[in-house]
Amino acid sequence: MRTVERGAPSPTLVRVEDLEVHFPVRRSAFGPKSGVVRAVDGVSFQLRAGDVLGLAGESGSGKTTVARAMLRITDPTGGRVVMDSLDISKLGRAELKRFRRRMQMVYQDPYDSLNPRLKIGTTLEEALMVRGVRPSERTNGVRHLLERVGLSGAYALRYPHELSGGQRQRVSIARALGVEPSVIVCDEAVSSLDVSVRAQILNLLRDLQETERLSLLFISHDLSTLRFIADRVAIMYLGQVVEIGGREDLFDRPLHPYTLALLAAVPEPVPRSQRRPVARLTGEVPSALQPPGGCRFHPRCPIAEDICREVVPELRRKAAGHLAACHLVPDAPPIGVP
Amino acid sequence: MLSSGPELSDRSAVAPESGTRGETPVMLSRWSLLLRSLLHDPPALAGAVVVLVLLIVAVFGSLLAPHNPYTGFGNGLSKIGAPLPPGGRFPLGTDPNGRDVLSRLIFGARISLTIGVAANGIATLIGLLVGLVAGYIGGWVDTVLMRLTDVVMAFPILLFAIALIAVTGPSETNVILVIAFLYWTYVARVIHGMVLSLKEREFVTATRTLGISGRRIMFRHIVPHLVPALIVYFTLGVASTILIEASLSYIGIGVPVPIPSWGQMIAQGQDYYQIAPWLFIFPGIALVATVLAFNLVGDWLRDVLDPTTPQKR
Repeated sequence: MRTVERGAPSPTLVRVEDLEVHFPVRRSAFGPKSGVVRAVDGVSFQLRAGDVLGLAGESGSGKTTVARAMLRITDPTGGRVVMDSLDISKLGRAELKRFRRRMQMVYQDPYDSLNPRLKIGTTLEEALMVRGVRPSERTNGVRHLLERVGLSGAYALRYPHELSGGQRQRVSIARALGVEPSVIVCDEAVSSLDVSVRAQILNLLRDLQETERLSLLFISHDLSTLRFIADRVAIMYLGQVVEIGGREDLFDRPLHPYTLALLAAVPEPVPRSQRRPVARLTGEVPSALQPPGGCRFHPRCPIAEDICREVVPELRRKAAGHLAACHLVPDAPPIGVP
Repeated sequence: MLSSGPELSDRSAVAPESGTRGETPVMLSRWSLLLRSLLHDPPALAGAVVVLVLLIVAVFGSLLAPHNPYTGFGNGLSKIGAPLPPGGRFPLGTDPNGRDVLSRLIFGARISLTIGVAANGIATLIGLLVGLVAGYIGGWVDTVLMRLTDVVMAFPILLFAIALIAVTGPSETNVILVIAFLYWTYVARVIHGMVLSLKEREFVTATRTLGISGRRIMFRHIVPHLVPALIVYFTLGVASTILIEASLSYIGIGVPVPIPSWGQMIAQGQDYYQIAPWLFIFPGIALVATVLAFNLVGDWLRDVLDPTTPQKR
C-alpha cells in the first residue's frame, strides 16, 4: 500500500485550515501587550485516513505548536481544525472530552511522559477507563495493549524508572492506542532514542499504522526519519508550511529553496552526485515576534528576488499533489486543462 | 491524615535498583534507606529522638506525671508561701499555687502537640486544596484564590488572634482555628508554585489529552508529587505553631488558665523570675527543645525527600 502511484487518495480525516497560534508577549503580568509571537501563522494541510504525514522544520518553526493546537493542549487563536465534520478548535469542555479519544499524541520525552509514581498498568488502565472498559476487564486489556506494542504483560507491574527509553516510548504508544484513536500525533517521538531503538519504534509505528489503519502526523526535525515513515511530508518554516507533497516528490524533486537547503544539510552516507549543489543556509531563523515581510524565507534565500521581499507567496499547486509557497517556482497548469 | 505511604519518594536516586520484582523489597529498602540516612545525620537523629520522646510523653502523660497538674499541694509551698525549688518530692519545683511543675510540663506537652498537630493538619489540608485548585485550574480562579491568600497573609497574626479570641473567648479549639486560619497561606503558596510546574509536565498533558477528568488528574497524578513537600511543611509548621500557641498563651489569649500550656507557664513564671527562676526556665527549655527538634527533623526530611533542594548543609 506504500506505493508512489496510489489510486484515488483516501478520504481526508483531519483538515487543518489557516491555523494560527499567536502568543501575546507582556513585559509584566499586568502590563500591556508588547508584541505577538506568531508561532503558527496560517498553516493548512490535510491528513488522509490511513496516511502518515510527516511535518519537518527547524527548531522554532512551530511544528510542536501545530500538534498542541490540534489536540487543544494549546488553544489556537485562529483558523480551524476539522475532524468528523467538527471544528475541534471551537469545542466546549464536554464535547472536547468526548473528542479526545479520536486523536492521541505520543510525546517527545519518554522520561517525562509517564507518571513516575504510577505503575505502567495503572497508567494504561486510565486509557481503558476513558473508553469505558469495565474494571474487571482492565487487567486483560492492559496485557493486550502491552503485547500490541511488543512488551510482555509483566511490565504492567513495573514503574517507569525500571524501563528503558525505548520501552517507555512503547508504553506511551500503548496508552495512545488504549482509547482506540483514529489519529496519533507523534511529536519527535523517536528523537531522544538511540539509533537501533529508534528503528524498532519506527517499525512498530508503521506496523501499527498499517494493521490498525491509523493516521499518523509524524513530527520530526530529522528528514531521514520522515523519509522512512512518511507517505507525505510538509516542511514548515517560521510558523508556515512552505512545501507539502508526496514523499518521493519532496525528497527527490524538492521545489522550495528552503527544502532544498534542508535536504542539502542532511548528512548522506553516500554522496549523491546527481543532486544539484545548493548554497548552505546561512544566518539564523528570524524571530517569530517580527517575521520578515513578503516571503518569510527571503532574508536567507539564495535566489530571492524583489517580489519575495514584498509579496507573501501562497501555498500553490506546483505539480500533481505537490504544493509549495514560492514565487520563483512556476505553478502547475490548472487541473482539467491539459 | 495526609498519606505518608510507601510513595514517600519515587526518585531513582532514592529507589534502589532492586533485581527482585514486586513492591515489598522496594518499599522496605526505601524505609531502611530513610533510617540509614537518619543514622548518618546526628542533629536530625537527636531531633527525631526528642520528637519521639515528646510524642510518648504527650500520649502517656497521665501515667508518667508524678502528680495531678491541677492540684495545689499544701506542702508544695515553703513556710512563707513561696514556690519550692527543684528537688525532693517535686523534681522541677512547684509554682506559686503549689502545683508540681514537672506534671504541668508533661500535661503541657500534650496541649502543645495537640494544638501543633491539629492546627497544622487543618492548615496543610486547606493550603493543599487552595494551592492545588488555584494552580491547576488557573485563570480567574487562580487570581481570586491567590489574592485571597495574600490578603490573609497580610494580617498581623497577634492582632488578628487578639481580635478573634476577644470575640469568641479563649479556648483550645479557638487557638487551633486561629493558627490554622493563618498558617494555610504558606502551604497554599508553596503548593500553588509546585502545581504550576507539575501541570506542565508531559505526563499531566498526556493524561489530560486522554480525556481524564481534572479532578482525577489533580488527586491521582499531582497530589502524590506534593506529599514530600507537605510532610516537610507539616513538620516545620508544627514547630512554629507551638511557638505561636506559646505566644498566645503568654499574652493570655491562648489556652484558658487552669489548663497547663508552656507559653502560659512562662508568662506566669516571669513574675517570679528572681525568686523562682525554675518556673520559666523549664518550660522555656521544653519549648526551645521541641521547636528545635521539629525543625531539625523537618530540615532532614526536606533534604531526604527532595534531592533538588538548594539549601544543602
